[in-house]
Amino acid sequence: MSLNKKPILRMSYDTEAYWMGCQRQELLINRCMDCHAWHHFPRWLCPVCWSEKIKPVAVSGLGKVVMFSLTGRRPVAWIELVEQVGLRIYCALVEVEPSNVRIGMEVRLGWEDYGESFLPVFRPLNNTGASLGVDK
Amino acid sequence: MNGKVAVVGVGYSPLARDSQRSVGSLALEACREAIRDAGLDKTDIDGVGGIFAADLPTVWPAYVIDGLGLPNVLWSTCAFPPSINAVVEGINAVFSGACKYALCFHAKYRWDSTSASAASDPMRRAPWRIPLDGSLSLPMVTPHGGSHPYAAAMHQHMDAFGSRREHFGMIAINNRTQAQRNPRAVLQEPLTMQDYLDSKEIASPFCVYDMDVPIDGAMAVVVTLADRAVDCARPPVYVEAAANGASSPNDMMLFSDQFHVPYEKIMTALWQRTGLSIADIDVANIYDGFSILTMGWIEAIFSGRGEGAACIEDAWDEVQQQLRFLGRIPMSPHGGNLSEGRLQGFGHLNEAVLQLRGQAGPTQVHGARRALVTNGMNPVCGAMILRSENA
Repeated sequence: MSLNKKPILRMSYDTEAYWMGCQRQELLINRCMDCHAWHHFPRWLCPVCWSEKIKPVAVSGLGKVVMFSLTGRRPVAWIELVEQVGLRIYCALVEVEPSNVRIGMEVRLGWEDYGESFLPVFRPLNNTGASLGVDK
Repeated sequence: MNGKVAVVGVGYSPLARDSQRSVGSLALEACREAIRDAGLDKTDIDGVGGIFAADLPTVWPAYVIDGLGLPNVLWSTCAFPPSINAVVEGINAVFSGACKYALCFHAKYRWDSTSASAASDPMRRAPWRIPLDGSLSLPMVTPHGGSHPYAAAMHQHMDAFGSRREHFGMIAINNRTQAQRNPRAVLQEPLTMQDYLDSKEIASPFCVYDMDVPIDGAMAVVVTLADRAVDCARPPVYVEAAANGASSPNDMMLFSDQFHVPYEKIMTALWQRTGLSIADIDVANIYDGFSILTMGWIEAIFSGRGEGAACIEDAWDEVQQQLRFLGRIPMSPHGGNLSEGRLQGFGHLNEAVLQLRGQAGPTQVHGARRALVTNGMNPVCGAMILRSENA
């Protein structure tokens, strides 16, 4: 995938792997190969042990809502991923009525085509996801 | 300060024209190295100061605080360039008791707006851009087309004082000669006077060698009070005095009646606050964002207004292709912004610390005990006198 064909995405050397994962509908989160701590947003070194042995690793896609907002056209939320307490990613919530969103709600990763890239979204874990399109 | 505050750690990222790295990664590496150099860890650092990049995206202190996982920060700030301003802020913070160990850093990057080659690199797209208008008057200037205040100031200096391109060339060549001993320096190829005089003018009368070299890179220091400094891993380097800022008039156009003012005010303050004179200085790391700015500092430090060209001629060693002021004081052994790379003066400070520790390696000035560091231009500049523990 040539970067030059993606004029709107603004990547850095730290975020390139994340965005390239999105193109493949694979959610890659940085993990330290020395102390095994995860971190997000993607950075060059581990904020826990300062090692620079960082690897973007695919996560399970399971998590729960820790904060959310209903100000946009659909709910958006910080999702804490099951891989690590405090490991959070910001995404849209789909297939849920805004009035039904709850803190602590269990959610599951899916993908939406934004043209420029696929972007991760989350839906309630108990939904079948049949209408969500591509799912991993 | 009179030695009550000391620099106890210095850190560098790699310096490169194209680092193949993010600017955030460079900042984190330089800061990590400065903390380690001081023999400290993440829990010790309770202050962080950065530089607001004005016309380019800034690596905020918060990015470094979170990226390094610093849990105990009670003081932070983002000072205006040049680099020395962040360090003066950090010195004031530890001196006032706002924090114990202040980490001060700056990171520069060849963002897409800095050159045509950078603009063609998709990894250099800036996330946002902020216009720089320190005078709040740019709309009265820009409709007439791009001016180059440094070129205008250089031409005015030549016209008023009889300085010639050769004098500015000696500044550029000195820094290149020095850079050849500095493994970190981005530009190391020898530079001759003929090269300088033959080079294409960018904005008459100055050429590419009169301008600092844009790079990817970051640098950092840790400062603390002298009584804590003695317990750190490295020999402390004490701050004798520091001054920054600039008095009016300063409307950022480098007019001849304003050009010398801030340099003279700051140097007068440093000598008065320390009781020292240039005779006490062993190495002078003089700011060189543009060679005309170096000329201004040289006149404030050594010669007085309009006498810089003669002073440079006196200092020029044709065999060594470098300057030695008063027959002994070298200028910028690291090569300055012109050749080590454009960190807006941070390299001048880090080099002074290494010199005064006796750890400057191939660039070491034998027996250096006091160093003068200057940064910037009207209306944003500062300077510092540092001394070794043996002085």
